[in-house]
Amino acid sequence: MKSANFTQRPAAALATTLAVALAVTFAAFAAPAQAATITIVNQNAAGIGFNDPTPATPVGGNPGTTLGQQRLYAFQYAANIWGATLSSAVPVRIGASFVPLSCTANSAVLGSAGANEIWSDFTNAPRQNTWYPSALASKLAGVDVATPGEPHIIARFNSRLGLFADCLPGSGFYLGTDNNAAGQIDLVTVLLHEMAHGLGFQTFTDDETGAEIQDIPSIWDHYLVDNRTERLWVDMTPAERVASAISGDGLSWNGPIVSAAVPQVLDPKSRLTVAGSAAGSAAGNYEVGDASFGPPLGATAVTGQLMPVVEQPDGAGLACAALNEVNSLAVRGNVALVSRGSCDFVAKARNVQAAGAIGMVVADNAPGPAVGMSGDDPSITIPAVRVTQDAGNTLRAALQSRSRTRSGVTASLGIDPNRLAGTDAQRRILMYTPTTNAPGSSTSHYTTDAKPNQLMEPSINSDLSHTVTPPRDLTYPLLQDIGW
Amino acid sequence: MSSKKMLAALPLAAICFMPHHASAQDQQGMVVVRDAQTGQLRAPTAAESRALAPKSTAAMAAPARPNMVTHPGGARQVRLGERGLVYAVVTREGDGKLSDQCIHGEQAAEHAVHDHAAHSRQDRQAGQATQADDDKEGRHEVR
Repeated sequence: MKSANFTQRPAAALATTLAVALAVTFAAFAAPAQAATITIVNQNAAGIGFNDPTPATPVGGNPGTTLGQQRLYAFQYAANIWGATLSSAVPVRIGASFVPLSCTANSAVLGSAGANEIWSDFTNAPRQNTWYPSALASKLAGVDVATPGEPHIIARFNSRLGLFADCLPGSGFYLGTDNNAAGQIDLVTVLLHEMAHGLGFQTFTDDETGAEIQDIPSIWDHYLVDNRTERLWVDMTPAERVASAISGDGLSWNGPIVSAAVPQVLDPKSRLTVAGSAAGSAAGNYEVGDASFGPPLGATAVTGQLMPVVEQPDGAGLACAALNEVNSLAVRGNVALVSRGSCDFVAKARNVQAAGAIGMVVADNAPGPAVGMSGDDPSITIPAVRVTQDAGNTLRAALQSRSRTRSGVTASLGIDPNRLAGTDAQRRILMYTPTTNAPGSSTSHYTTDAKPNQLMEPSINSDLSHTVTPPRDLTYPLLQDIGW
Repeated sequence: MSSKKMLAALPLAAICFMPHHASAQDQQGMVVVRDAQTGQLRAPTAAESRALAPKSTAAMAAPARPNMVTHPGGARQVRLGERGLVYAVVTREGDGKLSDQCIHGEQAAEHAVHDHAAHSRQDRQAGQATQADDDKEGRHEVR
């Protein structure tokens, strides 16, 4: 077992007591052969952050009895997951603190993390002239390369979140470790995500300008490939990198360990298949966004006549209220085509389901890709997909001639057995490359099309478990690809 | 990860404590403190304000542009400090649901926080959600 490194200072006596108790409690368990020591360097002063003495009731497996203790325990818990997964002879130091960060009543910075230093051409560096984050460089070198006294990773989290009227009141961090946040923000999940960035799940090349730091590529850039040209980021010009970063689905991860794990982690891609005697040019397969509510699409497709809900002056149907008699008759036993807008997707699904529909297709009301639909309602039992605005227009055009109950156009909500969700044609996972150049948007995330949702998507979804390895998650395989 | 593996992993991590503050160069907003004796929130004293004020540490005091240091033996090093951080930002939508996004860079994170607040104000004035709120590409939208 690797030894724990406790440095005790009076200002942190409470938290240290908790840490020692943890070590004692679990000392009987043998450490796995593959492991790394991750040291949380508490950078908070007495009385704040990790040392906040505000009494707290133990919650969800977190035994801390003060706010500071609970924060520390959650941090430790996340660090331990990474510690048990990674392998390194050099302890990883995370300089961590809870401090006031930017807030409003309805938005807030949860926290931030990243590599503190990057290194190239160190002893045993697998690739020359390539930046590595200092934690990884130290592992590969076999010695701590970081500047003495410097952490490998910086992590700062919002000490005021949910606790003040001007800082997302009522929506604080859930400090339990049982993944039962129930509407709050699961700190352990956020920590696992942010720590991964600090460990190396990030490029140091600027996404917006394509510029490398000191004209040296990141190890990340050796695995980021344009799936249309098969050119790596490391071989592109800055302008080419910028273009690929906003390509929609043009960048893939080309690492062998991730690619080998993809088939056991990702599910088949959903699709909408349109056919029938009246389908005409609308017949074919359509890209869809999945719904987080209702049953997932499976090998046995849900098939029925595609019938539109019509209630708006322009012929569209929002289905934001109970369907009238004509619309109810149209969708009963059929697949309902509705338009996005004015109410939640789950509300639309409830209304068409109540009218007897067996499935729902939501046509977007704005240009863009077919992205997923969030929402949660266990009462919804019919499948739903979302299609692009263009696809919606095509489908509506094909439905112009129909009876009150039949259109002659069939819709099948199913899967494509030959494609995995969130992958390119070669079954490599796609990276996050939104077509709009949103500030801060980063290729250092997996696509949002992955199914099931992955820890390293740009948004943290509520269905994540505290897992970083296959068969549930592809975070660790990527870190392995870059050298962990 | 199995619970058994998790339990086995727990002793691996260590905690050490540094007496200095974590600096937060971008601290913003009103700062209040909870009185240790009364438990009530109040304005900080001068000493507490100094304690809470951003202070530079070696880790955070990165230069405006990255400077590269070449070490004997050829290893090269750049200290990123704040520049390398990736930010998690959460917003509460009009229906009360939370939505988060991971953003690179402090400025972008600040924009995400405060642009959302501006949008929310506009929405309330207009009495409806804006298309901008509906169309955050790449996110799994609720409506």
